[in-house]
Amino acid sequence: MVEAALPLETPPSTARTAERRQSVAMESFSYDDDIVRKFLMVTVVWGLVAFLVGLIIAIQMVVPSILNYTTASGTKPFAFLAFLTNIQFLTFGRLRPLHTNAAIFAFAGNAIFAGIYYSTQRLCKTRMWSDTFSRLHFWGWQFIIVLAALTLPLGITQGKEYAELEWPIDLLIAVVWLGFFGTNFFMTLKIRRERHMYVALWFYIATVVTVTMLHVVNSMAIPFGFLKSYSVFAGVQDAMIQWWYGHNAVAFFLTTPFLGMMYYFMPKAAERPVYSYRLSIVHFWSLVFIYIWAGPHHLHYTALPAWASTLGMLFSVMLWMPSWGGGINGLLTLRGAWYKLTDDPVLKFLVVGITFYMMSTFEGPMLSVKTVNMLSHYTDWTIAHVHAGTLGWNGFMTFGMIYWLAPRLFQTQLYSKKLAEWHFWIGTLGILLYVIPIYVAGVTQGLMWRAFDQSGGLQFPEFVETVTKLMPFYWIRVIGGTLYFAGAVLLAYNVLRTWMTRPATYEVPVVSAPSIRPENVVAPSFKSRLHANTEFGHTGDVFLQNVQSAWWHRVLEGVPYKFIFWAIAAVAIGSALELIPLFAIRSNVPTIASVQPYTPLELAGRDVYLAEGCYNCHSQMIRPLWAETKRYGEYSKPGEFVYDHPFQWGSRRIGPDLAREGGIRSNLWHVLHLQDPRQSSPQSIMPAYPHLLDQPLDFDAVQGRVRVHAMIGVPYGKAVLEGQAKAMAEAQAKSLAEEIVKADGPKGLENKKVIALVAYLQRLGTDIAKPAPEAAPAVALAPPASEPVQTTARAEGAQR
Amino acid sequence: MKLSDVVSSLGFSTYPIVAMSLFLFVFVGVVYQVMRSSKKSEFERAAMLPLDDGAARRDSTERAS
Repeated sequence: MVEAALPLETPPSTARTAERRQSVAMESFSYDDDIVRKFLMVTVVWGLVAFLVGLIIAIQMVVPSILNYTTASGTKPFAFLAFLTNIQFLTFGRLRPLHTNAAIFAFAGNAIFAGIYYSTQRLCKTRMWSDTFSRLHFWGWQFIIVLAALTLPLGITQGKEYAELEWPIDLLIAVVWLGFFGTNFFMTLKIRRERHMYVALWFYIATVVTVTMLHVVNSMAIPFGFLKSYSVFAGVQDAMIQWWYGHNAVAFFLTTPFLGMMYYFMPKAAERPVYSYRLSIVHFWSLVFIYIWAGPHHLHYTALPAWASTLGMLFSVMLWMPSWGGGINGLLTLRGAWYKLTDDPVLKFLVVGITFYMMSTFEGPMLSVKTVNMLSHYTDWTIAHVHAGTLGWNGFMTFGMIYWLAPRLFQTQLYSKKLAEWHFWIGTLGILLYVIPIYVAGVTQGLMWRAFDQSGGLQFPEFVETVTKLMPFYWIRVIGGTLYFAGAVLLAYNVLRTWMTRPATYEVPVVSAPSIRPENVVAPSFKSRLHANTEFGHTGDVFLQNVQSAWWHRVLEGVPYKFIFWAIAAVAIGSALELIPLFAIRSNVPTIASVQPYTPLELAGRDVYLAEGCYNCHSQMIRPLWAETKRYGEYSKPGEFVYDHPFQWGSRRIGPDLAREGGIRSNLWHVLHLQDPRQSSPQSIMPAYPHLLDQPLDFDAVQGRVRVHAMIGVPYGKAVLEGQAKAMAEAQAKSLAEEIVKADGPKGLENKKVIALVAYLQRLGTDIAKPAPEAAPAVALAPPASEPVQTTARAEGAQR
Repeated sequence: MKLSDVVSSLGFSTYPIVAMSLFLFVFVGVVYQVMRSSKKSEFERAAMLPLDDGAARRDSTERAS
């Protein structure tokens, strides 16, 4: 049976080889290094931007603590820094997405492209398939980055971490990434002149394929005008999709392409082949098979079903081995050449980069263990972890690559090796001064949140206490970030000066290599080695020999499309089997009868919440842990989020959780707190939002927002009728505004953004305490009531 | 009866475990194959690829065959 499925004829292989050798024609071509130069330059530029924005938001964390510092003579020397906390375009909530997007997609993204365009051409012994596509890719990607830099500070966002960009930009990303970059890359593989695809190319393939899949699925949204869209997923399911995306963005944007670059540039810099090619193959397949499952470890103890997060944890722990195998493989490539480290800055960067890869990939699985995560989640521990990864691994690998590439691309000497050495030491010190204090800050805050006193109450009931405690660490982080940024400035200067000594015209060496035409790998025909056996036994032995000879593996790698297919299969099947049960099984998200859709005004307020990026500092997810229910109230149930498009669980508590914020404080308190948080809480580090009290709320848009939500399944009943939603919103706004005036608050807020935001905040988490409506679901117009508690029984059982 | 009721009765919840085992077996298979097959020379040649920039070399004809 097995034999029949294979080509039967086997020409004598030696004759065949000889024949082919005769017919081989040498082909001449040149590499397109111009595109690599372009990507290299913008990598440096966007790197500076990303680090600078990071530095600014690090300063924003400490500035509020000195704003009101008063000298003996009564002056406030730091008051001028207030602009960092009260200009709407510069608030932390808007700049933090800009920082993460710039670091990941602009800095690391362009570095990846530079590395891929340089190494793919050489590993395939061909020029890129299309110079036009290369340019379209380059300019398209830079255009996307500029759009991101414009829209994010304006508060135009989808409100999902690392996927904030709005839908028109998302479409552009899909076109540029798959249409230009992916097509160009795969066609280059097709026309390659080297039969074997080196392992670095495998990592690139996995990158292109998986990032496309992640981006398309996670960005599925229904547009509302050009600048706003709502995720088609809601609540628990949106959370699962988001972190499946979020974690695999780390895996397939910040890990696999950089590993491909490690497998190419490390041998280049060390001038010797990789330590073990075998290990690199195992490294590749294990990462592709395992990584795709790890996402749910971001959601331990949340309203996500426990089986999903346990699965995520198990796979995360399994990741430890291949990651270290790969890291060791990279480091041992230096075998017998460690002495080169002493005077080669390139190797210094690469070796420390790989070391950080190993440290972060040890720490990642550890953080994914539920008991560790219980402490670390929502704290700075996560922040320290990701910065060890990005500053250490992505940053240093990129710097090493740039210092290696610059003299070769600009066909000259590196301007100053000494400056590169300085960059290395300043950068390393910068990373350490960043991550160490932030680790301490994370553990400190985590322990303070859960500490209780002798009487059984919280030892630090005021959230702000746990924040002010961290200020010294945040100051050290500012120093660390400044050093890292200074290092990058040295890099930029060095590259600039190197570029200035380039020749008038670049030499374009002509390379020649024999062409290879696609040919079939001939399957050997095996005979059974058994003497007396059943037919089944003979078939089995032939099958075994086929498997052992591994000829099929050459078929697989000879044809990139089959290889691509298997890579897709691995990540897609893994994803589907992980995600489908959550979507399909009813019991995973039990409904709660009393949970109703947001009123039109609250919905508008939710959009203000998203636009201001509140989720960057406030979670909306109370875990079923003693310290959390004590501090915030009843733990969150999956059924409470069924109308949340997108979910807003958050990942970091720089401020307190807001899941049960509704009804705790007065409307006036919220208005004044938003106007200037330090009025009501002097030590708060929250930005001030005075503009929310001035900017008008667009009541005309309310109807459209409601309609889009109704389209994706929110039961809005008669509120979708023309004019209804607007009338409902205006009525609720009016009554809220009157209440505020009655409490001696500011007048004329009934048509301002703040009123919608307050309405939303006052609604948060209140539904489970309301009686279930008797009639069919319709929007409750009444302001949140502080009625008797009646939690439905189904909600109770939801957690486990 | 909703679609989700139908799908619920299909026993999907065990699939992640099945898939996990499947992936594990495939992975073990890959490791076995890579470690055991006597492709040492092929791997050694593959490992040299980054060090060969495709500059016109005399031996490149041999290499490709």
